[in-house]
Amino acid sequence: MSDELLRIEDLSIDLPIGGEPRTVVSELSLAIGAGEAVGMVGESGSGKSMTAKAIIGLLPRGARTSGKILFDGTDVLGLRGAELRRYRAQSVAMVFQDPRAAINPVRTIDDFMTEALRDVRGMAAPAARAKAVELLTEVSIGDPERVLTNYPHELSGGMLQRVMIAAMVAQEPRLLLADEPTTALDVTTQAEVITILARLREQHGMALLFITHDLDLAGAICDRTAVMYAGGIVEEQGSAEINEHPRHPYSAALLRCRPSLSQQGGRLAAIEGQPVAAFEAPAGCRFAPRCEYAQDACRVAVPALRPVGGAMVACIRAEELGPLTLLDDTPVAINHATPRQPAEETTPESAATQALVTVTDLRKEFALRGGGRFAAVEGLSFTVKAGGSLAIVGESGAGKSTVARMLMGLERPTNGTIMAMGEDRSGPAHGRATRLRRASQIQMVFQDPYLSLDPRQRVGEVLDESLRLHKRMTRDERRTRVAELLEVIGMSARPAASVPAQLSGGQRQRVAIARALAAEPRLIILDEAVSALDVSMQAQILNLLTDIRERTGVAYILISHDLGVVNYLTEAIIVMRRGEVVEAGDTGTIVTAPTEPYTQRLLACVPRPGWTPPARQPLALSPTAPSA
Amino acid sequence: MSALEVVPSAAPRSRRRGIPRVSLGYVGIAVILIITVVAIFAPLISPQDPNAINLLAAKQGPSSAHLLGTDASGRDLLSRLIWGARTSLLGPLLVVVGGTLLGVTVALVAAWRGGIVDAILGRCIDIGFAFPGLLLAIIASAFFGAGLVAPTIGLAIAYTPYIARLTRSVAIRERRLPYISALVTQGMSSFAICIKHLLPNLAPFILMQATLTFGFSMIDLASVSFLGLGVQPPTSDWGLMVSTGEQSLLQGSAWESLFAGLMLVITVGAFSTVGHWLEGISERRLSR
Repeated sequence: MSDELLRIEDLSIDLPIGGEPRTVVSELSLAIGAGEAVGMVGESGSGKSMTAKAIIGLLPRGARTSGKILFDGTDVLGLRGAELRRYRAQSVAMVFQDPRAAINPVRTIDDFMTEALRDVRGMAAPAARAKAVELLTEVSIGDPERVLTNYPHELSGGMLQRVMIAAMVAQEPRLLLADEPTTALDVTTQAEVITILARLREQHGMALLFITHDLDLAGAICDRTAVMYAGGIVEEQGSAEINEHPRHPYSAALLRCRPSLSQQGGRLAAIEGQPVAAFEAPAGCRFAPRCEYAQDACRVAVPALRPVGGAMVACIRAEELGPLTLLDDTPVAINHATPRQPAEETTPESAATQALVTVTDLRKEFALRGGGRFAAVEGLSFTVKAGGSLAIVGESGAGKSTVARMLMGLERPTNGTIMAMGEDRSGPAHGRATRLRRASQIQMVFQDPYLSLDPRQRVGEVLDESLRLHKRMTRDERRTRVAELLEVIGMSARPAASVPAQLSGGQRQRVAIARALAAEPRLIILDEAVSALDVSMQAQILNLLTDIRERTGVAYILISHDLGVVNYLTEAIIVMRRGEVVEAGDTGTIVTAPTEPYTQRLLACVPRPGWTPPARQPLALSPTAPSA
Repeated sequence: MSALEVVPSAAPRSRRRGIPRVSLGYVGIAVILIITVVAIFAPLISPQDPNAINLLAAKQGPSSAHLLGTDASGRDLLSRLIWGARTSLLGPLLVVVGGTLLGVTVALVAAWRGGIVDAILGRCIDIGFAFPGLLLAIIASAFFGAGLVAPTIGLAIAYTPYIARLTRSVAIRERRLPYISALVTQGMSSFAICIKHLLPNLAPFILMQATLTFGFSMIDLASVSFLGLGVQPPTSDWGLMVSTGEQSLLQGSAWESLFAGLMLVITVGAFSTVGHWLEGISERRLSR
């Protein structure tokens, strides 16, 4: 590290949460050299976003800070008014997670991109426009002149994120902060954005602080990675090294609990408990309650970040433990060699007796706003056996969720049939009995655990309501069953009286799963059911889903864009692209030896250890279909 | 999933502006509670018979015998104000209950069914906007005779489109949330979902609207009374008192109009303060 650009010294941030100041970042120190890329990796509440906001002076009102953030020797935390504005205009820029929320929807891309150039740099309009065109070309936008005349809603998320990056680079910042810039994007788009970020950083000599929850992603773009837990850095090491030889138990656990392309079935090495914020953490090492190596000595004091074997580690047992291995690869290989029975290779007669759901030539059209029709799903056929599992994968706009909604009767197919448990579900459910029978056969778990539970309903009531609909039970029987269900989802310790607001994302998703189980369905549709969760929570939920399948023999249809999750949980895959099936077959085969270029590309874009984003191919260039 | 949600509590934010905003809402609630209690216990609280005429003591200013003075017929103003609280609160209450029942029903049906049903109901709502509330109240009085009931029904119908339109837009937003879809996939009936889940989640918004409507309709009913088409004498009513006090006003005795007007201003002010306070709360909740 040659010239030091940014030095954070003992930064602590208190935020008013629930009316009281709560520590979210605690005595954090980090240095970024000029032109260096540093990854900041952590789960919810680790304080990574707040650290970035502190650097650019965007902390929410009422935040209190201590410590220093020195940018080129100037303490940024002390800047006010014109000085702060000059610092933001010339020195740092930030790319946000959701470009759609960060770009004014009623202004054109031209306005968005040239405004700062004109107002802050005093450029003339034609010059600013020329600069914007140049920058859009740099972020691989093929038709910059046209894009400038567009409004944000006319562009896809990936395009918008590129526009956002171009606009930030226009400021010629010396440090670019990227706060989960690819989390909301498809894997293929993510790979492109990562490539663009890496290239721009080199061309413009910018330093980069890349915030993410994915160690592999950080490894692909960063020189160094800092892993954060509960408001502090627990390990800092070269990005490549940390992915191979993590030294802090938390970094190792994060790497182990990710479902990978090489693990099918079995159990994931989940981290027990859930991520906490600094103010919720216990005394001593904040990770101790979830750490498999924790000893009594760990609970005495917060361990300092200190050099151990070329890394900086905040663990008192770092020397003793040495570089941690990712041993869990071994059982993985065994699992992969003996996959559960392949799904598709059933003889016709057994398929007829066992088929839970048979979808034939399914088609769904939506009317477009400007007239005309658009096929969200086209010619889809598949079968799911009792106890089987099928994944539907594809980028956004592929029609995956439309399929799920049709199976649940939330949408009517335009053509084709859905036979489920001997009943044609293509038509509407007339009458209470039909409605309830269909609902009790197939249940669904939705993507967003924050929005899929009635915010006013207590956990016990959620489950009780489902039991009342589907089971003839007395009040006492229902109460017993609710307790059983809470036991199944591992939340018996949580009072059934909690409302969703008191639960974490992982816990809410558990409740949603329990609700789906209450009706004792034969098939559960998981619509991106783990994508919104933290890595460690995701592993727990995936293990739970595996346990439930073993216990109840329920079948799953998993809608997902995460091929690691798909590979872990399912036996068969359908790859969809813009409403049509690209490739279908046994999961193991497709993941290891895909035949279609589209599938190959999807797989190549999945971050993994030692991964670099693949070169862009014309295939992914085409504009995305309007989302349903 | 990136960071924990930071919701700065209202208190430190408003402290910057000098006056804490929360406490104003509580002041409003306190005022409403006091007036309601006074209205309910009017027979116990009122110092004198509100309708006892004493022409010898007409148009007096405040004194120890009559704390707020007397009107043109020598009736005790304080007692009349206390009794007047009853009709002055009852009217708007009926308007709000009627208008909210109608409006929310229309809104939920429109939001839930969507499509053609929504389009038809939307047209009906638009037509409803064409009738000014006061005019409708006056027409109702003209048809069914003056009194409390006719203008109340007229106003309830007049406020229905306003309540329906706003509630519909909020209900549509809420209906799109996945928890509603999740309940549909549970096999629950539309009616049960609307009543047990949608409605309770809209409750803060509906309450806010009802509170604001209460203030507006109180002014409307007072106007109707002022015109002599509402509550009839000798029943006391604040709007009516402003009107009857008008003659004394010209003769130099402003007490009756002044106190009745003041009560209207305070009450309506309290309701709109609470309404706006609730608006802030329901907005914060809806923008989760």
